[in-house]
Amino acid sequence: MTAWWALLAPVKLPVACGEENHALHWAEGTLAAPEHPDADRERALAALGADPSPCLQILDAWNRRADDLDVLVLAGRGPSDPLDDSRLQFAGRGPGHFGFGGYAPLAHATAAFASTLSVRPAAVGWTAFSPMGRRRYVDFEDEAPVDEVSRLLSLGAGLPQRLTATVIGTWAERIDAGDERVARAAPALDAAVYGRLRATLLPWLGSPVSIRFTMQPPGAQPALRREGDVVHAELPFAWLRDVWMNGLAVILDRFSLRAAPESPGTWMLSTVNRDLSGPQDLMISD
Amino acid sequence: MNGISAETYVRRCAEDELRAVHDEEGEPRGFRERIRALVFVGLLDIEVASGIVSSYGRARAVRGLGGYPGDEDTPGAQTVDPTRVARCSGEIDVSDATIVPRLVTLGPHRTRLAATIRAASGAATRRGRRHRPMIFEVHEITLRDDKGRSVTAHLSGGGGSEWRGWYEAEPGLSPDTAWVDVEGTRLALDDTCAGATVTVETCADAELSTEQRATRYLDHCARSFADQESSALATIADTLVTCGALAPDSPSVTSLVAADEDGEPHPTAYPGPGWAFQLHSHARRGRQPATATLIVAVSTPPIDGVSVAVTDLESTPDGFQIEIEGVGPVEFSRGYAPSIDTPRLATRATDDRGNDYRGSLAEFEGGSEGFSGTVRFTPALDPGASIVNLEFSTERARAIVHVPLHWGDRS
Repeated sequence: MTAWWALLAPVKLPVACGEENHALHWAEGTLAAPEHPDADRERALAALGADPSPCLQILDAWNRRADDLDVLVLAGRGPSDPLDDSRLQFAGRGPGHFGFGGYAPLAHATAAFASTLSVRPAAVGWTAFSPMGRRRYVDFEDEAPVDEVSRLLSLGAGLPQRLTATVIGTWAERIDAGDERVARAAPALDAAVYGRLRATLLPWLGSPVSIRFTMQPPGAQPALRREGDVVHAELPFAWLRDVWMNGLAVILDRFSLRAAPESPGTWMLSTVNRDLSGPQDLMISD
Repeated sequence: MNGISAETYVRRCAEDELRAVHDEEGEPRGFRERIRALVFVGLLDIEVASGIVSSYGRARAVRGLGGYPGDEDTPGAQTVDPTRVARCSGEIDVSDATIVPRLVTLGPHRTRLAATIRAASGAATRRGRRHRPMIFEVHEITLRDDKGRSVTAHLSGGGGSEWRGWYEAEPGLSPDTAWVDVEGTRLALDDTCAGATVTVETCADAELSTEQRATRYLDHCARSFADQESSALATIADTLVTCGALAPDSPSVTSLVAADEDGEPHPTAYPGPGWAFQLHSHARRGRQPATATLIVAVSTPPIDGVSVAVTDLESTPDGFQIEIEGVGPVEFSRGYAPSIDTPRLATRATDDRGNDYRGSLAEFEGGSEGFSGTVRFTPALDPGASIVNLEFSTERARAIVHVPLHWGDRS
């Protein structure tokens, strides 16, 4: 089985860390802070009151959210569902800032970072924050925890896509392994596929249809068929990992039901046309 | 059900609404009605539901869409102290006006004094005084209790030469005060009354099947939405049918469709045990005049965290109305509620001649702690009725105030 991150290129996120310019590296499914080789010691010092390192704050938040299904709720569903970075940054600030009437830089920012890949620099600083569970939408109290998920999804350098991929990859592995946590998470996993299928299928078809979706168990044959204004879709969660995550959902105006590695650097896609007839195999290579 | 759980169903609805056009107020009400129905029917845990609303509320916010009001943490069980309603009488001269109180309500958060205000004799003809409406002289009064507490009460109401309204103070006086001082005049409080009783029924969910809970919920919503759009009822019925709580051809669903088409009230049925309290109301004897007011002065025990006090009943040739005041979080309209499972209050009236009167809320004000308002019923009271039953119900309980219709002698 090919790793879920195989088609995701490495990226670097510049981070102003104290008075130095560092970078977080994402590669092969892992986010790392190479300028912080003694991260545990730094964390211990921060627990005793030292200023926390922005690099480690991001890294630790990333690792905490690696399987957080709220990432899949907040993150974009694809090209037809772009998110506004400023709204994410605003939402990630925390209490009382879910309105969009105005935005000001954090008063207590200890660091700010800019992405070399974004059109505009990110203007959000990572202040000291505490890990949080579910974030309340309406929260106007001071000193409330920051919304980590929104903050992470506002990072540049392609990291939001890779965070989404990390969550998808993590849960795909759990499903394949028969992990007992999958049963409780099943409704959220279903919705994650359904929402992205919907966001992909409707713009591609170009006509309003009702979608009847069934999430299949691992290994089942995916299927897509149309009956009048109803599209019946049967896809496993792995569709998100193998197809959607890698930007392969629509190729050459065909919808991909499945993607599998054929050989190193070569992938075989099982696709259907707009009539949802077929399927027809397409081979792509890098 | 169609092979999916209630949680999966609502999550898919939320995904649909992320892309759907929402209503003019920016709130996707359909989703909230669906998730609320599943919570009350017992197919979705309230914590799970709150989490879904919170998560998708954030997802909508970062897309510039309207969020989901009422996704705050579910408040813990709260003890509700019923509002004390007591009769009082007297005439209090204040400047150019005379205040004639008739009852006072003493709740945990505010005090209200019902009164008629009229011009003092000769006030309009006094020489050398610049005339101005007498109501300005008494739009604020000072109330005191036996604990030494003093509050300023503000008048709301209407009229011409004679005003009928309420003085309200928030925070108010001690609910257990032995008397109320109004601008230096001490009023004795009469908590005794005669005739009315209150019956309370609590629905034990554990004894009901999912279909029974769903039927009860749909019936209750039909009465809660008496004067509002019926589209919400269709959404609720669709949700309950889709999630397997109701069969598509169940009587509750088919009668809902039929009633909606005919514009008639939806029939209701409430299973469950009941118990009675003996409370009293002041009554006058005699035949019902064309327009008459009864002082009811009754508070229900808490039902589902809500207690309702009925102060007045006014009968007119066109209908009748009651003044109510309540304690506890209640969702009166579909726009506001502290949380998904905040109860909705529905009102209804019947009499001992088999008549059913449709109630609608008017002049309502309220918040998370209490409310007050007027409920109007149509048609007019049957002149032959000797008792009217005022029903206040939530999704899980109901209280019925049985009021003997003893009208004053006609002169």
